[in-house]
Amino acid sequence: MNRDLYVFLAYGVFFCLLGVLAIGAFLKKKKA
Amino acid sequence: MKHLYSFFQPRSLIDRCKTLQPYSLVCAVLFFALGCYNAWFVSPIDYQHGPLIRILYVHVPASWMALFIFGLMGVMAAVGLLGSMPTAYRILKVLTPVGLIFATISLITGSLWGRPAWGTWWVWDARLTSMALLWVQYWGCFALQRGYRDPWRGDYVTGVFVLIGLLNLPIIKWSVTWWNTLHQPASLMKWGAPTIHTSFLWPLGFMALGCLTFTLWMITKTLPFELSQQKQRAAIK
Repeated sequence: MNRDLYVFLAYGVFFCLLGVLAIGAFLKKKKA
Repeated sequence: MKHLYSFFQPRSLIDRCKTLQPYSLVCAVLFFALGCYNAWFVSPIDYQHGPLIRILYVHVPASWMALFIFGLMGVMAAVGLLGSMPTAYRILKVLTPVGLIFATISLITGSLWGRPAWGTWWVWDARLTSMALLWVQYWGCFALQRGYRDPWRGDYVTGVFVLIGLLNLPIIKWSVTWWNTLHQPASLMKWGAPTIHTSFLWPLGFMALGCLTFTLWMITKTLPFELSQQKQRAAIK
């Protein structure tokens, strides 16, 4: 696999998981 | 002690959260943007790792945050247990998912770096295993916070669990010194000058600040809800 692809995947995982956290925080507030 | 009690007053904490929330979000977006720009367009590629060095700018800050947040949870557990302050447990609770996500990012991005650099996704060496243990500890906190009918008891047990779990932090930090590991030794958080070039330090610093301010934003966003639940629970009791 191309080395750049591993880098893209790493950044994708980083921002997607932080995005999940942020969405969770928004949903929690909405539920309240 | 008086200052500590006034800091953990729910009303003043909610007010502080509301004040800090927009600033922390703006700072997080700004630092992440600066970090990504520096990582992708300014910082040079490494002579050994090539473009893979860019994984460092997400892997290392996430690992630092996973350790730092668990340390902070330890402080909250100590304040909750010794000072009998339930508000500290609420901070501990909102920190748990954030720390868990950072530990998950650290493990996955480490794996994505390990495959092309070492030729394997995973090895059971001291650093990787102790980090995996921290990930399990975060899940343990998650389960204990929700596993008791009496939430006060859940808080107490979680506090004790976190304080015992703190023992893993120095093991993670010095695992690369105490044992022979495939993972490289520390090049920044160590005695003496850093063994990393300054051109790599800028994006690393920006991303680390981004993670820190993002965590602050998460706390300011979710803590008021947790504190209102605590108030409801106290009213029922």
